[in-house]
Amino acid sequence: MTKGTNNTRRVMLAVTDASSLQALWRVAMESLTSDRGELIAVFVRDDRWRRAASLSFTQEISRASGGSMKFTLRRAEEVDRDALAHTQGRLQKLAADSQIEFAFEILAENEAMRIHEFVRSESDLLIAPSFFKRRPFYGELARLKCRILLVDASNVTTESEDLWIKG
Amino acid sequence: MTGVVEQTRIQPVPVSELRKVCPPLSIEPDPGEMAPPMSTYLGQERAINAIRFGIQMEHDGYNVFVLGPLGSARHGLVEKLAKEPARIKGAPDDWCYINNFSDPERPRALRLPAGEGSRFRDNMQALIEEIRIAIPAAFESDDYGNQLKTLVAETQKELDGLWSSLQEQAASEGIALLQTPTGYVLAPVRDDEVIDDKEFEKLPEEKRKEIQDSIRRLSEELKARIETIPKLHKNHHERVRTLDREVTAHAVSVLLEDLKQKCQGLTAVLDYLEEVERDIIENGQEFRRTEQPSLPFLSFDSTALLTKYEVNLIVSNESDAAAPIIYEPNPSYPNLIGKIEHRAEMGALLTDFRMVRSGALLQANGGYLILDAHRVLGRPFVWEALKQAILTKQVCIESPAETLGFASTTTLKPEPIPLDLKILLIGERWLYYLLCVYEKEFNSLFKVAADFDDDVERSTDNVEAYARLIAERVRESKLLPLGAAAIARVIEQRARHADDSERLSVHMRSLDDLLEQADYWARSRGADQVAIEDITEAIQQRDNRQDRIQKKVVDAIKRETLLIDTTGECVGQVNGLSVTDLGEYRFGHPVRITATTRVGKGDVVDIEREVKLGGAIHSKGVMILSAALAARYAPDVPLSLHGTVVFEQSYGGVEGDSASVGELCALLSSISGVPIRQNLAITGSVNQLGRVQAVGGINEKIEGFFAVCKVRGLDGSHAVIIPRDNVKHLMLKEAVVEAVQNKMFNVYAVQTVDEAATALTGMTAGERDKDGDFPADTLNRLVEDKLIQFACKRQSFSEGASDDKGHK
Repeated sequence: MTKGTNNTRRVMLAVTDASSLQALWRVAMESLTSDRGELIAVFVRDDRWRRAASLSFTQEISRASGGSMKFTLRRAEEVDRDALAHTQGRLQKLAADSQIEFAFEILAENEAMRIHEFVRSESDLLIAPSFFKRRPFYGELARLKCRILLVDASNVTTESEDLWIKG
Repeated sequence: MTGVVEQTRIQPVPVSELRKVCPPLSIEPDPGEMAPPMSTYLGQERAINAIRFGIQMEHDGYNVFVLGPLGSARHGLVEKLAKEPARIKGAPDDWCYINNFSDPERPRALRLPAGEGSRFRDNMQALIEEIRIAIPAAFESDDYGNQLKTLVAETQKELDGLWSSLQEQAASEGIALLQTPTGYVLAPVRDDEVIDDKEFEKLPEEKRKEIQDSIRRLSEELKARIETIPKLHKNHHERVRTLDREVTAHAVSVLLEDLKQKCQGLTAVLDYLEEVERDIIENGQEFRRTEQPSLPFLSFDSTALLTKYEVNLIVSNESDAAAPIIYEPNPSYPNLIGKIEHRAEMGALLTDFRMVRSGALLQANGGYLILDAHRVLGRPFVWEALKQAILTKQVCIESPAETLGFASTTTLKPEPIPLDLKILLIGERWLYYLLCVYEKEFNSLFKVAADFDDDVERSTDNVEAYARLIAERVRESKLLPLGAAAIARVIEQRARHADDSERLSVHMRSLDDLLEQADYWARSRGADQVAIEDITEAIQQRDNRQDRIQKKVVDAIKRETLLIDTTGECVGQVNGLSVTDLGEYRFGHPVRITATTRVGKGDVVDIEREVKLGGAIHSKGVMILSAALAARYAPDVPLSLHGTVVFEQSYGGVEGDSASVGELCALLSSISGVPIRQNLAITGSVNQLGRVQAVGGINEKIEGFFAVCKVRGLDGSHAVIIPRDNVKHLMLKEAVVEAVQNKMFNVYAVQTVDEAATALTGMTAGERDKDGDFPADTLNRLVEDKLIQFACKRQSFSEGASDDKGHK
């Protein structure tokens, strides 16, 4: 399905660690009704951790214990790596469950406009979490020549459902 | 020789008394006619009454010890006698082991009416199968899913509330709440973007302080809210658990209701079902676990948990059946008491209530248990365990190691089961008497002794009954029928087996053996009926199979390796007769007894005893000789004799006193110098007054001497002298009887030593006259004179010795 040609419709799935992949994936699968569809997952790195870590007084408060420790740049990079690995792993599982292949790209927030490079035609589609609208780079995305579909894939609190309650 | 014995006026035993012949018996029962129920147990009235008494006595300790020889059909009789009481008693209750939910290591025993056990077990198995499906189905239902979602949503809402209010508060103060994989970070924002250190440094000092204060305060608030999360989780889990209980309870109660209806009236079962219901509801979650194991062999089957509701039916009876009559041929500890099995799992031995197995005691509970005493006593721990069970009236199924306190691992301790049964222990007599003497509790545990008789009187009625018994055994064993003469021949053999022409052996195994072997020989010749020659052939062939040693002895005598004279005369030498018992076969043969005499102190030395080859009874017989000699010949003078008697060429033990009359005659011959005829053999014991008494194995002894004489050539001079009291025991082989009929062999019966000595020496023994003297030219006179001579010689020696002493 991802072995696209120039005529193949492309679906780009913009994800972050803070987004609900299930919801985004579901919309992507619904959009890929054509056999000629091609899926590209674009992981948008969250730059906020690095910024927060640059501040000398920033603390990370443990969810399990409530204890706090200094949030360093090294820790921010570690969180970033974990987030990337975590997101990639979940995408791979979803793809395996859906029996589909996908391409995986990584962009920093300040490189978000590079998504232009993946767009081939106006029939292409960018699926992104709705909270992207609140991010500074959204202005760049809005100028894409393809359709943009924002999905209510709630961020922190929605994700916390999995983390806090084991059901 | 015949003339000599006749001269002594000792009459031979009439031919008719050598073998009490049975006239042909025609017992032809109607094919449809059933034999009397106890016909097989002819002559066992005492044992039958004892067994009946023991079986019917309800009080403690009235267990029965059936004592009698092997092969006397004790097992069959016991089973037969127990059948009717068992039918009247009816089937006893069923017993199950069930899980003890509060202490699984102590399985509980559950009592159910007969036949209900298997029904209950099957119903519980069906229930488990239903639960296996119903519980997961209940948890997979939309109803449950929706209710769970609602609970999750409610909890989520509470969590969201905690979070969103804090987030809103932070946002209002220009602070973002970021989430890392393990926690939260509070960072200042401007235009929805987290500001970095460079931007932060550009802020006025006051603003920077304000931000830091806000973050500090929000951090504290965040920590406080995080601390409430575990409680939220706990509440959520409790609510989910309550929901699960409700769902499980609904699913299970419907299923259990049917079963409870079926078990109305069975209080214990209903109580147990209540426990089952509570346990399933408490553990409903467990039955739907679908976790993938970390390793394939650790796979977890949640439905395996349901096995704890299974029922281990250890005693099952049909409701309309009789009380059980169990014979346990191998009463090992596990077979008698029961056992707890284990299964190996991941290198460990595991067990549970389902692996408790019952033994014969429980299988026979409420009925009758038949055991072989020697097997019970021969297997480790069994006798003690059996006693314990009888005394405590309950069975505790545990390993012997556990009983003895040697077990080091945790195992089960099943609840003891009350015991109410009658034990019928079958053993030989010696075992019974040993137990009576050495086992203090034995007599209080086995109060009834059922003593099987060995034989029955050979009355007309009993002979007819015996004939019917033979016919019955033939019918039961599907053997060829016996002709009238053959039946009579069997009757005669049974008298021979009893060692008594006036009694019949009731040893069933030997009877069956004879009938079966006669059947074989009859079929071998293509006959459709067993004839007298088949019986004779069976007896002859059996003897042929077993007479190797007898033949060797006869051969050794024939070749004069064993020295036995059958002609001529000899002083101080007599042919005695002994019997060798090989267990299933015994035979008689002559043995040379010699005696020597000289002056002495009045003692007769038994050489056999001196070399410790003589048994106590034999020694007693020889000691009686001294007394008999003194009483008869030296009432007024000291018995000044030193005599020795010995069994020549005897290299094994000698027991019994059946040679004592022969020994006495050899002594008399030695004292008097009158030779003993070697064509005669003698057997019999003697008392102090010279009375000849009966001995055992009389037929074998006569036949043994006959066999030796026959190989050397019978000429009519050979004879055996036996005690008169033994004549009634004579059931000699036809060959011997025939030889007597043809005047080629003889049997004489004597009552006194005088008669015996007269017969052996050909010289009249003589009786004291009115003056107290024996007549001249009589054996006794010669003996007495010689003993007086010995006394005088001894006195003169004594006086000489005194003179010598005085001289010195």
